[in-house]
Amino acid sequence: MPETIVLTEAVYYILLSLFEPLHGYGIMQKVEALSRGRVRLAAGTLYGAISTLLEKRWIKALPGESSSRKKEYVILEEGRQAVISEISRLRELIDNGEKITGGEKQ
Amino acid sequence: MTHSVRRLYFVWDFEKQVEWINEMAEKGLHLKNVGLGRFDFEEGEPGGYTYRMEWLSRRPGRGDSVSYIHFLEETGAEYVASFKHWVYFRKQTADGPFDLYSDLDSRLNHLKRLMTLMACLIPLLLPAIALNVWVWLRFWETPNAVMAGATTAFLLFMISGLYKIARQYRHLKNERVLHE
Repeated sequence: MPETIVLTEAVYYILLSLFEPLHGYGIMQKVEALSRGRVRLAAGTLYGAISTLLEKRWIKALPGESSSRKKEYVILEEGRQAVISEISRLRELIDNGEKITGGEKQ
Repeated sequence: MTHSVRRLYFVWDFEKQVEWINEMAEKGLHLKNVGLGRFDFEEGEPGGYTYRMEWLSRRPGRGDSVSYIHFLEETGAEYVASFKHWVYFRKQTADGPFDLYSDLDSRLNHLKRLMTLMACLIPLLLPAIALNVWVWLRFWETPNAVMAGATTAFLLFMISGLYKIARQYRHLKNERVLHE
């Protein structure tokens, strides 16, 4: 069985945000909104993640309008697949966690 | 009005350096320019800006650094100054908290870049020490002994600085086993 990939929380949320095209700052805002303020991506961290995701071709940069200097990014099929797999993995974690802890509410 | 302050911070004390720069910003003095052992401030609103700094793997004008700085500017950070590979950014405190890194991996990479820098600087001292020791053993002139001693002391000082960074790196590496 192929080794499962475990995404970092930041990458997971970045990919999720890019199901629609967004520029850098937009990604930061979207992730903060999705996580209700819990996950705040710093620009340096985001830059590194985007560079790696571009390299892996999980996302792509959209040719921007020449007037606007903000480059936008969007998810690619392989990135989409990575998110789907990640969701199954997370579901497994949650199922086992709730089974063993008896679903204790926090 | 520009206030120029002379102050020396070593490579491994960059966190103390940025802490000091932010303390100055709290007082209403905002960093505008950086030179060798020199910081230029301009007067402004006390606490108006939060400053951050980092060491890039290439000079600001080269390679990936250009797109990195550009990217940061797009997120609302202002590129204030640079010195060698050091870059200084600031963001208005009104815009909320400002950090360059939000995960351990980014911080680990930064520390690795600093260790690489130190690993390049330290060997530069060795020829100076070797030369002075050789000349001293040959001619028994005290100035050479003094120079050899002084450069060796400085070498040890630099090595202890490298050790400080390495220790921080190891600490974060251990943390990384548990979380991001």
